[in-house]
Amino acid sequence: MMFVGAVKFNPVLIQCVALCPVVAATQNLKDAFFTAVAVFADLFITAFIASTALKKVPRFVRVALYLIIGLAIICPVLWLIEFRTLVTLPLIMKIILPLVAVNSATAVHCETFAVKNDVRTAVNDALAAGTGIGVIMLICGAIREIAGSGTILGYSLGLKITLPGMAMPVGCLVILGFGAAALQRFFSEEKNPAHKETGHQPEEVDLEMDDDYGPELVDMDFAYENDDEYAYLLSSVNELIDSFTSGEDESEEGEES
Amino acid sequence: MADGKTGRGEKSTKIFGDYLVMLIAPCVISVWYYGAAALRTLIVCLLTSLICDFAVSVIINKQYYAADLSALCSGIIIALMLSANVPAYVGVVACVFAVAVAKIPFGGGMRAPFVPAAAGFAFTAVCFGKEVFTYSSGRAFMKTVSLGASLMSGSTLRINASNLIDMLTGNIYGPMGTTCIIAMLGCVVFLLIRRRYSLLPGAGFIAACFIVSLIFPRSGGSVISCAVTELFSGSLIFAAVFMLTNPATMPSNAANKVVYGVFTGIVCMVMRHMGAFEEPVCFAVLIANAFSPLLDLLTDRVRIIFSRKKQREVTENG
Repeated sequence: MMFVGAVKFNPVLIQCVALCPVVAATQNLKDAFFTAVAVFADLFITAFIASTALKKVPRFVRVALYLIIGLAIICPVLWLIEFRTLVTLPLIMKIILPLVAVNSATAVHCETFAVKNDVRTAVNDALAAGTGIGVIMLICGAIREIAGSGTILGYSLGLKITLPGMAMPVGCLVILGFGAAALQRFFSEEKNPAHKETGHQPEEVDLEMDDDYGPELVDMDFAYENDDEYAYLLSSVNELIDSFTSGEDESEEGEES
Repeated sequence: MADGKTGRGEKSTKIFGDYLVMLIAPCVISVWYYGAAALRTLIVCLLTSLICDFAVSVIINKQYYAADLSALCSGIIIALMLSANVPAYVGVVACVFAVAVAKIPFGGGMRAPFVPAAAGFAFTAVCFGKEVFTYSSGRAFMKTVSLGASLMSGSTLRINASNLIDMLTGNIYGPMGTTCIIAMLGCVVFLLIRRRYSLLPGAGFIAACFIVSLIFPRSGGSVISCAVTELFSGSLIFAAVFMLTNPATMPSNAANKVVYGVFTGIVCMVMRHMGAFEEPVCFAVLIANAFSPLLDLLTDRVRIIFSRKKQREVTENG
């Protein structure tokens, strides 16, 4: 379950959740580490509380509670770090870390998994998802710090050429894009070894275009059929949407009655 | 089907072959003005694009289209937008970004949602702003400052017969292959013969830039001379000819093409007025690329709404 949750259904690369903290707070390895710890702790504790105490709470209250629980975890820890230790957090971290409380990974995993399963399963899922997010944050932080400023944890690597663009959000999105492609490629080859030998060649389809360039050809690479990852992702998202819409319906019905 | 002779390969060869023909003139002029330095930058960008295209295709196990000339075009366009004496690694980074990040992951030059050359140049401008916007003087008459920089500083510019000819012939301080307006006009004539519809975004773009610079001049002196200088500075006309005409990123409908060009022009001029870079046209093109599919979508929706209205009217009357 750990491997499946952390790698195969990686929350960042496959489910595309928690992108905001990953992009905003991984400019260097140190920031990435703090954010990863905050996300991990938030997800773990919130999932635990959701699976133990929030199953009978109405959905619209639950989502607000995730935010309050996240803030209750992160803000005191930040206060302790700031006033009781010698660690000085950069200003950007003081802004970003409280915002981690509202990251979409917590809402998705708690709402689609934790409240529907027993404590052990929910905690395992949170551990896997938190590890997946944390590892991606650390990888992004390390690559962005090395490429963007030629340092690692503040120590200079003596690189003559650096790419400051990699320290910007665009750099992180490029890394995430290549990471997602590599992961999908890996599991696609694992599932269908023929792709490994022949390559995944596009199927060509003629389409009409009304300009002067003639017919366009469309790559059908992305026509996923019977793909577990996408079935899982779609079901998670659909469940979440259903949960919200049914919640609205229930509340509307309640108001009417 | 996957070679350069049929299907996608043939189409790509045809379109980017046209671009290559058009790019000959600015290449010759850049070598004429800047000599070996321009040739070196051109060769570095060209080879990097080709090697990167081949290498990434091999790494991701995609069939390499030998006759797909889009990488070649991207390399030359990037080289022409750079300064002649730019360090080689700047060109290499720009071309690698254009090919490996903006072109191949999206399925090649005919499918890339963003103009690869614009993406490569924008990334390089962000990373090496000083190197990219420090130009080589070559044989230029303005040996100290480019037109873009002088407009940015708000200094007064007066156009006379002498410097107008210099501007038209590209004998000014700036990117090595984008300043010769006569060569750009030659390319426009070529496009007019070969693919006239692809000129619509460029026309909208230049018109929007001209009108905005008339309304909000950046320098003192006559408004007309400021607007003309605005058009002749940096890579504005070059982008109108070589980036906005990219078939993969253009909207399909003629009206949308003009809207796309006007939008790019407005964004470009806003960035010229408020942005940090001397030449933000690539950023404007990238922003407009992101909105291009939305334009088509919007037109389709409007078309559907109107057809439904017509149907309703017919049923009500009938």
